[in-house]
Amino acid sequence: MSKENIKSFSGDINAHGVPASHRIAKATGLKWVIMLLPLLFVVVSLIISLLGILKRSFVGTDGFTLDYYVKILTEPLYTTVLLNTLKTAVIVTIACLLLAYPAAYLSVRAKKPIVRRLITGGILIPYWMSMLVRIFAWQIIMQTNGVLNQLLMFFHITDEPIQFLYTTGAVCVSMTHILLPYMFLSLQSNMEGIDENLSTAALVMGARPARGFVDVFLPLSVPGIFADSLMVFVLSLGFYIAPALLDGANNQMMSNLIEQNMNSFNTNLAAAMSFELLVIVFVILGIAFKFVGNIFVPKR
Amino acid sequence: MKRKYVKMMAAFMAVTMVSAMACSCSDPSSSDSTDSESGDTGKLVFVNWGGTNTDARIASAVEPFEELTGIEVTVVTPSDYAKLISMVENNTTEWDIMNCDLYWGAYAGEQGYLEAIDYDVVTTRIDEEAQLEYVMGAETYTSVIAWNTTKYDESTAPQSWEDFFDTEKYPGKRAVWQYPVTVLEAALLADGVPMDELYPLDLDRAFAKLDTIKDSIVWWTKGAEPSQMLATGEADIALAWSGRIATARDEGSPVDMNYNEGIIIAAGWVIPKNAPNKENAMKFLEFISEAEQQHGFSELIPYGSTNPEAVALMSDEMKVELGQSEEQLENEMYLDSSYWAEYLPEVEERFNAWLVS
Amino acid sequence: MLYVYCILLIIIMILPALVIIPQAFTSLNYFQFPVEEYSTKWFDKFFANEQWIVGLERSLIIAVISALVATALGTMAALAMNKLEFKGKSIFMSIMISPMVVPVVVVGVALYTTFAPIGLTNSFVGLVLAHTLLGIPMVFVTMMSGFANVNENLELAAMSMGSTPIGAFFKVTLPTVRSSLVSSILFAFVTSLDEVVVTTFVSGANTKTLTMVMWENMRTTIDPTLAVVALFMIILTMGMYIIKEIVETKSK
Repeated sequence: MSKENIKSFSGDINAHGVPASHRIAKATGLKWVIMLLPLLFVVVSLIISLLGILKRSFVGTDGFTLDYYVKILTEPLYTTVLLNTLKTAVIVTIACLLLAYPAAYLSVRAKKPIVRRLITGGILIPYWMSMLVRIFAWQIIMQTNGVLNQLLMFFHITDEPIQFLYTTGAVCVSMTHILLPYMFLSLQSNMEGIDENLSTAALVMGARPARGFVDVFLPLSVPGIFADSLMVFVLSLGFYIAPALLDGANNQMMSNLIEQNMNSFNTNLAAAMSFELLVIVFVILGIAFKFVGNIFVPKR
Repeated sequence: MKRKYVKMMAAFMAVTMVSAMACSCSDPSSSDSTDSESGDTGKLVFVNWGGTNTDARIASAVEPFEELTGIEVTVVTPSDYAKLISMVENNTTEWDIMNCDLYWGAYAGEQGYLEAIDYDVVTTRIDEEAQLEYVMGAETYTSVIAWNTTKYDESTAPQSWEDFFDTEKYPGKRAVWQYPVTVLEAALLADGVPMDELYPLDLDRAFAKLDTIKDSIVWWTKGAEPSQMLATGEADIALAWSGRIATARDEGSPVDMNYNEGIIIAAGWVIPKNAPNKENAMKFLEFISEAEQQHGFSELIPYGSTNPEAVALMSDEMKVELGQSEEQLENEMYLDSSYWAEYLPEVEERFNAWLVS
Repeated sequence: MLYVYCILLIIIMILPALVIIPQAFTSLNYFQFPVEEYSTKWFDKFFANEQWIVGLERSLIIAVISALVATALGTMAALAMNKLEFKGKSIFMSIMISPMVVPVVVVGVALYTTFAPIGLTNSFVGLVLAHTLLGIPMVFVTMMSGFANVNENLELAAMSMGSTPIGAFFKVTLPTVRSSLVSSILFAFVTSLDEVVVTTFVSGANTKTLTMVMWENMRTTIDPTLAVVALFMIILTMGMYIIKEIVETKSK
């Protein structure tokens, strides 16, 4: 396949020699470069080797087999871990969305730029701390004699320290904290793109502000919501470090299991699990496309 | 603009073609070991876990070795099993000698990923038990009982794994390694299996025993975690690695440990298949195993040694510190690496299944 | 109402930073809140080990370069999705997102397979390429949703007034997606800064990043040096952020 790519690529170079016309359709050479350059980069550096690895999910010691897939789809260990992973990813995505949306909305609609800057800056501060460090910070907060328990006991909400660490809750909290800035930033840049005049127009035409938001702003922000949620969802599916350090072992995530299998020569099984994750993401993408249309292409 | 594209294109074409050629090989068994790299290359790539452990190795063995032989040693960290596997599978081995757990090395050797150790060159002084075909013992560390000193003292702390598993006597949380190795042994010891009858492990019995404390376990995955968990009150007692608890205690953490029924794990050296400087790796293996170097290492960091002569060099105080005095050793056991080399994958899978059940 | 909510959210977001920074000054060797006795010994430890400083420097350089390259490539890909008509868009999109979806360990092995035969492992270039790869999907997704909101009529208007398509892109399209672009760079930057698993595969003796140093130390040591590292990272990156803000306000 690489040969073909190169061919079509060099063909484009020649075509690119044509002076750029004023119409997009005629700027053939340049236009394909923007697609082929990134594509080639990802395909060459990752996809080719990845296919080699994925091949091993079908090929055992005695040739073609579906055993690995049967195994990960039927054995309770693998199905439980998969469900845990999906559950955690869904919780984290929804939490990020619900928490970040109002803040992003306010930062975009704020009249004073300083408000916008303060909100953005405030939410981004933790973003600059290394993920490892943030996980430790959450340990300090949630540990048995940590900040949270000290507060709870100070206000006599509880008399005995509660164990927060090493539970799914702890993982979700720290993952939400890590991923929220992603959600916030992309929601924010999305909302900016929404033509503010539209909601102003709605106001002028007599809708109450709340209605202006519900009728106009919210629907317009839906494609953005989908795209951003998808990113956060996919990111949380692959989380590795936070579960490794904060998880109660009974709710492991896929990445950790895959890593263990890579270390004990079960590349085939690890490959099958990776492929499973990939398929899940694309199925979700497909469903999203079916119901909302291609969320990434503007409606005309 | 246009020129730049042409340039990039050329670079990409080159990369595409090279990797297209390279990606056709991935079968480890087909890569027969050609002995083209014999002879003195003057180089060695030494792979270790990093951190203070590696610092101690550099000071006690790497630097003296460079001085002695003139061989230039590159230290790479951290040891990585998956990376070693892919190196060998791609026939691009860059590492010459790597530190790993002994049982992992034994298993990897069986799978064809390692060079057999040339015991003609490495005229070993290591414990017989730690002298396997593909892996040779390095330092030892012990899975021990550790505790928070504000909760317990030496006399009130658990004195055996039986105590450790007794949730009535010790009601708090216990931190345990999220890995079957030494954990299953501890469970069986707690259930009354004598040390010399442990192997092969009675898995059903071990998991049944673990079930009894499952709800009061917090799991750790990184060696430095248990001392933190103990110090911050996340757990009252722990199954932890001796070296880390000793360091934390000496730095003032409220933690301590005893070696009762300690389970000694040996770390080992392995030479990946087709290592570029295999000969030097053997020489280094010989050098690093010598009593002086092993002893020097133990002086810098609280890990024991697989070399009995190195242990003999230690002061009595240090032996006690490392759990290597004769008296202590009576009540300790060595992990059976050959058992784990054979059963690790299936036991690990069962352990994981048990965790999520 | 919304303001109160925002203030609360920000407090929660900053809480970990507020908690971890005092830990850099603790006299204990474990994390305890509040800090009762202060000392600077963890700073001494940080400065005594040049690995930290070298790693920090290296991390920042790699993160900046790979963020820029990833932003360029990812934006191109997003633009292609948005502006070009071609068959197999969903395949194209799947490929562009794949570095984010495939578990990092597997990406690590795959990259190693690609890089090792051409000598890119244990090289600065290899590390930048690897981090670029991981940054691309971030940029791609962010920019796609950014472009989805661009008003095509404006572009057409600009072109009808004599702009070339490229000119129209730079004059009209790019400014409207400016904040998406900034987010993209940030995403790619932080992705690189925090990456540890793939880095293990691609890096070697001379290319160790800060996160790698932390990660491998955790086998033996978790101590407040981590808090010192966090403090420096916050100061550095906040500094960058403030400079950016100042430059922006001045240029207006």
